[in-house]
Amino acid sequence: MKNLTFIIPQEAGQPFLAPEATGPAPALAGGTTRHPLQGRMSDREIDQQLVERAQRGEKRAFELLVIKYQRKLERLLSRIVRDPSEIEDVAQEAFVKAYRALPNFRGDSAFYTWLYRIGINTAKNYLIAQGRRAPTSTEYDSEEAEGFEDAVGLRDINTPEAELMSKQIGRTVNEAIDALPEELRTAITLREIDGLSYEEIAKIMDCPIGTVRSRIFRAREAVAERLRPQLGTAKDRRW
Amino acid sequence: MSQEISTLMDGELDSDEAARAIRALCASDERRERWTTYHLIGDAMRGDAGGRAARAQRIFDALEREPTVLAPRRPLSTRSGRIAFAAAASVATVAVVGWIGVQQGRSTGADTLARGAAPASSQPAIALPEPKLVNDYLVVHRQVPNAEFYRPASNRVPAAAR
Repeated sequence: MKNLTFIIPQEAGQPFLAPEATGPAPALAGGTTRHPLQGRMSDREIDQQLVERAQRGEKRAFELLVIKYQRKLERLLSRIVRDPSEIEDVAQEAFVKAYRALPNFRGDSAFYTWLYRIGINTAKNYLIAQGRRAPTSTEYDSEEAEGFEDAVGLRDINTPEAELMSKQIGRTVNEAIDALPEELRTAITLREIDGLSYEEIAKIMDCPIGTVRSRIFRAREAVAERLRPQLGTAKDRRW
Repeated sequence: MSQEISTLMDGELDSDEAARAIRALCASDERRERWTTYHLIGDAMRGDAGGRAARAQRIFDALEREPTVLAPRRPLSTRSGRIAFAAAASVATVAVVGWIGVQQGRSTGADTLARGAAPASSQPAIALPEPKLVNDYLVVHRQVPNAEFYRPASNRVPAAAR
């Protein structure tokens, strides 16, 4: 992993153990109290809503799914296809195939499971078309894709240009995070690096969930503000 | 709404709030830019931001060339919908079978009555005597022979000898 300058509160090498859930649920920002998981829309349901919008002709909804799963899909494909520029081509083809196949998606499986299956098949077909050996079907099972998260043992999938851009963006984000007040820095680090839920962060930071929500948002906004000159404005690009 | 987008990204919104945020997200370029930038920040913090923007733009360009998909709505596409449909079908089957059974039970009783009643209505009425009167009649006119009748003729005592 690059850019390891973030402050991670728990000791290095120690797995995070969430405190026991005792006592009343943390209060929300509005002062009301309720169970944090009550009525929450799951990630799968959010994806399903975006898929249904795309199925009704809203292409932009599908683009939001592209943003969400682009990196995960590319990392998965990097296990099958070696060359970074080939990964880029295969990922693009997989997204286009998924878009074309949207009318057939019925929500029986999670969207990302379905997408990863398309990605793996696209990569195998690509290798066969190139006259190269495709991995056997058991090597890259789509079930495995559900749990596939990350970077351990993976090669870098960036082209040299992308690598340069990655470094620049990484540096800017690092500097912006370092400049944040401590409570914002801790909240966003616990979320993005450790993947903790708002409830878990609220317990660690001993504050209401509403405060966690606000701190993470403010941290993202502060970093986004520093990134905008580097990324261009909405007028320059569609996303 | 920006805070809702941040919270939606983390999967921490209520269903209603999430539905509103998704609607707003799809309707505005500026909000979609936020969604992208927030994802980029997360990727960068995990050391994984390389060239995302350029590659995403290539994918969007490729999608732009695709005809817009329009899928028919599937009201019973969900698992719970299918289960509900199967349960409703089972209940309906049981109800129909039960109703048929009840109807048959009723019609058997009614048929019995009808069978008893039908001759009375379709044939000329015959006056039947009371059961007690019938018994009296049989007693008086019984044709059952007495014990003498069954005795062999050779053993019969002549009436004169008696």
